[in-house]
Amino acid sequence: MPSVGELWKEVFCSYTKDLSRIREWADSVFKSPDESLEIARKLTRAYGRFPDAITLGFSPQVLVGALALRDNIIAVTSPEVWRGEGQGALSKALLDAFSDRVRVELAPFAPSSATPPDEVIRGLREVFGKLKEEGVKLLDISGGTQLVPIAAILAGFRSFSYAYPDGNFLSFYEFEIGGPWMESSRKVFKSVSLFDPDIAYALSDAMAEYDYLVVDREESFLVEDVSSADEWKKWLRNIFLSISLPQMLFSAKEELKGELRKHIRPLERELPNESKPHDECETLYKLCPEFMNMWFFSNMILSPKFSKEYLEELEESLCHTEELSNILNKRREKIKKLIENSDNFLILPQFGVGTHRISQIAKFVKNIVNCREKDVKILLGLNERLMDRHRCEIGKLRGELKKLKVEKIKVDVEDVMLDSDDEKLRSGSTVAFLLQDYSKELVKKLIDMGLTILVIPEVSYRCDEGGGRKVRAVAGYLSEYSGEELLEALSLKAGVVEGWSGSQESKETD
Amino acid sequence: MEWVAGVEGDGLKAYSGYIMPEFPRVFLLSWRGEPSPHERKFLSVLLNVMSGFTLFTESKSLSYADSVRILQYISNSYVIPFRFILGTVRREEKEHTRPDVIGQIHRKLKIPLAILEEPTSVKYCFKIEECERDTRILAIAFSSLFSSPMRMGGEIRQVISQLLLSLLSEVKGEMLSMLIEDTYGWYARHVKAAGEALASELRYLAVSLEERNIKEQLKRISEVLGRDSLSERVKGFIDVFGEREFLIGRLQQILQLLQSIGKTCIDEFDHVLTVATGQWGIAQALLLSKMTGAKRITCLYTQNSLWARLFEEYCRKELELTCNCYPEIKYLPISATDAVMIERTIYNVLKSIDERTLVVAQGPASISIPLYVSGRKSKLSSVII
Repeated sequence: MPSVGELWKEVFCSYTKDLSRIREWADSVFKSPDESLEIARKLTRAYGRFPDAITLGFSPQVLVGALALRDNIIAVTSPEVWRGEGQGALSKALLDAFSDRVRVELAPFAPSSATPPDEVIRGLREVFGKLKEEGVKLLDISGGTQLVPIAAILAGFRSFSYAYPDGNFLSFYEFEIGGPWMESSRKVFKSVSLFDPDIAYALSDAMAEYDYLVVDREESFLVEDVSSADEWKKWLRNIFLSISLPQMLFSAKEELKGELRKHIRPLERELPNESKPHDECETLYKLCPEFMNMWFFSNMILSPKFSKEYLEELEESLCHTEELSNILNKRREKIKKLIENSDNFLILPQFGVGTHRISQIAKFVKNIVNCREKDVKILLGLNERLMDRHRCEIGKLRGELKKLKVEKIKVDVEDVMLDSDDEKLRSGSTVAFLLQDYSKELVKKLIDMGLTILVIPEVSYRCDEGGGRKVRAVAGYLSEYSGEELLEALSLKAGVVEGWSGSQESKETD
Repeated sequence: MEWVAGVEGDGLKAYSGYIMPEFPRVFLLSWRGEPSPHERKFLSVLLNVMSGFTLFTESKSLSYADSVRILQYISNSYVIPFRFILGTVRREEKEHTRPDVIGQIHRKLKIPLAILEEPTSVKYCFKIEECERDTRILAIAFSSLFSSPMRMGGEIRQVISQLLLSLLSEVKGEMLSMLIEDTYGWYARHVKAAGEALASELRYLAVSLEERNIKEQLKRISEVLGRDSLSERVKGFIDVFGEREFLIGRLQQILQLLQSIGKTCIDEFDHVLTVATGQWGIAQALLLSKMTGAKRITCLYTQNSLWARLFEEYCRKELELTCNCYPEIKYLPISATDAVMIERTIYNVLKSIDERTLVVAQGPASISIPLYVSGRKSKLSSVII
C-alpha cells in the first residue's frame, strides 16, 4: 500500500492519467480537507503572485493548489463540472468540500452542437469581464479547454498564471502577455526622443526628436508635424544618422507647405489616425525610458538584418506594464519607509569625478535629508588613501554638508575593513546611498552586514509631465529633484538592495 | 604618412595609416580589376562591423563604387563608433573620353577623399589568403584600427584584442601585436589630442590609456601566444603588460575572480548568468565557459552593451563557432537605470533558474549589486566584479 506522500507525489506533483489514483487522492482530500491543505502547502509553490481566480476543469489538483496558496479563491467552472457529470465528479466533490472557501462562477467550457466554439467564447468572456470589473488581476488558466485563454484575453486579462506539476511540486507560474505590442501590428509613438545608447552616461542629450514614429509590419515611418518652415533642417540631420532611419514624412498646415517646399521636396502624410498614443506606451515611457530608447534605436538606427533577430526579446520585456506598475508601487512604499525610518544615512560618493559632481552629490544629500521630518546622522565613507588622493573634492563635500550632522566612517577600500566604525553602522538602522559606483569589495561587506543600499545613477532618462522634451537625460545624481518628486525619482531610478547576511545561505562561495 | 597596417589581395588592397594624432585615421582603399571572393568577403565583413551594424552588406554584390559610398557614409555618421578620413589610390589615367571614367574622376574631386600613392612601406602587412575564416578575422582586426576616440571606440579595441587572444594562430598573433602597438602608440595620443574629449567621458579613456614604449613587451608576446589555454595566455599577457592593462585587463579580473571560487567549484556549473559590459565578447564567453565547465550562458545586456552583444553574435556566426567549442548563449535585455525594469528582469531570470548556475555579476552597480544579492538569496553561487 503506497504512503500518503507517494499518493500526493503521484497525483498532485506529477502528471498522471490513472483515474483510480486520482479518485483515491480526491477521496482523501474530501475526507479531511484541512489536513490535505496542510500537505498541499508543502507541495505547492508560486513563481510570482498567487492567482485571484482559477478556471477549473476536470483536474481538481489546481483547486487544491490554489487554496494552498490563499484562503479563498474564485473558481470559474463549467456546468458539466458543477453537475458532477463524468470526470467532472471529482472537481465537483472538492468544490463541495471547500465550499466555504470557493466562490463558483459558471461558464461554458466545451463546445457542443448546441454551443459552438464562438458561443463558448462569448459566454466565458462575459464571466471573465465581470471578474475583471470586480478587480480580479491574476487569472490561472490551467483548467478548461483551449477556448478559455482566448476568452480571457478578449475580456482584457493580461496577467495569468499556469499551474503545472514538476515531479516534486505543483508550481503556479505567473506570466503576462499583451500590451500595445500584442494588440496592434501598428504602433504609434508620439514625441520620440532618440539618444545615442553608448554615451548615455556621458550626460548626452537626445540626438534627435521626432513628432511621431509609426512602426508597422509593412512599413515604418516618421512624421514631422511642421510648425515652422525652418524645420527643413531636420532632414539634414537625418542624413548623418543612419541609412536605416525610417523615411521622414511631413504634415503641415496649408500656408506652411509652400514655404517648406522652397527648401526640400518632402513626402506628405496626414498625422496618423492613432495620433493619440496608447496609454500603455505612455506608461512604459514613464517606467522605463532607457529601455524604450533601446527599442527605438534598434528600430530606427540599426539595420533590420541585425535588429530583427532580437527585437522580439525587447518586445517581450515591454509586454508587462501591469507587472512593472505593481513593482513601482511596492518600491514607492519601501523607499519612503527607508528614508523616513532610518537613523543613519551612509553616503558612498564617487570621487575623482570633478568638483562639479561633488556639488551635485552634496545637493542630493541635502535634498534627501529634507525629505524627512526627523534629524538623521550622515556618515561619510572615507579613508586616508581617499583623503590623500581627493583632498580637494572631499573638502568641498564636507564644506557643502557642514550644516548637516556629518560623521566620518573609516572605510578602508583596499582591505575591505570598516574597523571599529562597524558599530556606528550597527547603531540604529542605516541605509547606504551609493552614488553611481563604488568599491565592490566594500559593497559586499555592507551587504553582509545586512545594510540596505540605494544605488543612485548619475545620469538617467526621465519622462516628466509638463512642457519641454518628453524624455530628458537627467544628470547630477537626481539632485534636481526634491520632496515628493525626489521620492518618485528614487522609486523609478534607484536600485534598492537589501543586505543578506552569509549565515542565511546554504551555498556561498565568495 | 605612417602606414600601420595593410591588407593585400590580388585586386583589393586596404591600408590604415595616420598623419598626426590630431587627425582622424586614414583608410586607403585600392581596387583593381575583379576582386576574388575572399577579397569581397573581407570587404563585406569589414563594412558590416565598421557600420556599427547600421547596414548589412553581402560580399557578392559589392562594387568599388558601393564600397566607397558606404565608407563615406560610415565616416559621416553621428552614431557609428568608427572614425577615419577615406582615401583612394592615385591612378595614372590616360587621356580618354570614356564618360564613366571621367564621371568617377570628377566625383572623387568633389568629395573630401584623400588621393594618395599606394604605400611602399607598411609596418604590419597581411595577405588575403584562401582561408575564409582567417579572412574574416583579418577584417575584424583591421576594423579595430579605425575605432573612434571615445569610450566605445576603446571598448572595440578591447573586445577585438581579446577575441584575437582567444582564437589563436600565428597570423592572429601578428594582428594582436599590431593592435597593441597601435593602441598604445597612435590611439593613446589620438584620444589625448582630441581636446574636447578631455572635458567629457573621455577623460577616463585618456587616463586608462597610458602611452608606453611597448617594443620590449611585444618581443615577449609571441611566447605568451604560444601557450595552450586561454587562461594561461591571459596570465602571460598580464605578466608582460601589467595588472589592469587596458586591452586585456577585464579578462584578467574575471580569471582572478573565477580562480578565487576555488578549484573544487570548477566544473560544478552547467550555466553562467552574467551581464554584458562594454568588453563583453567571444573571449569572455570562452573564459567563463572553460573555467566553470558551463555549456550555457545567459547574458543580460543594456543599451550600452548592445554593440558588444551584436558583435559577439556576428563574430560567432562568421567564425562558425559551434557548440562543440563554444557555449550556447541566451541574451536578455535589461536597463541600466530604469530600476523597475531591472527588478523585474532579475526576478524573472532567477525565478526558475538551474541550481547549478554561477552568477557572475559585473557591469553597472545598478545591475550587478541587485543581481549579486538576488543570486545569493536564490542560493546560487554568486560573485561580483
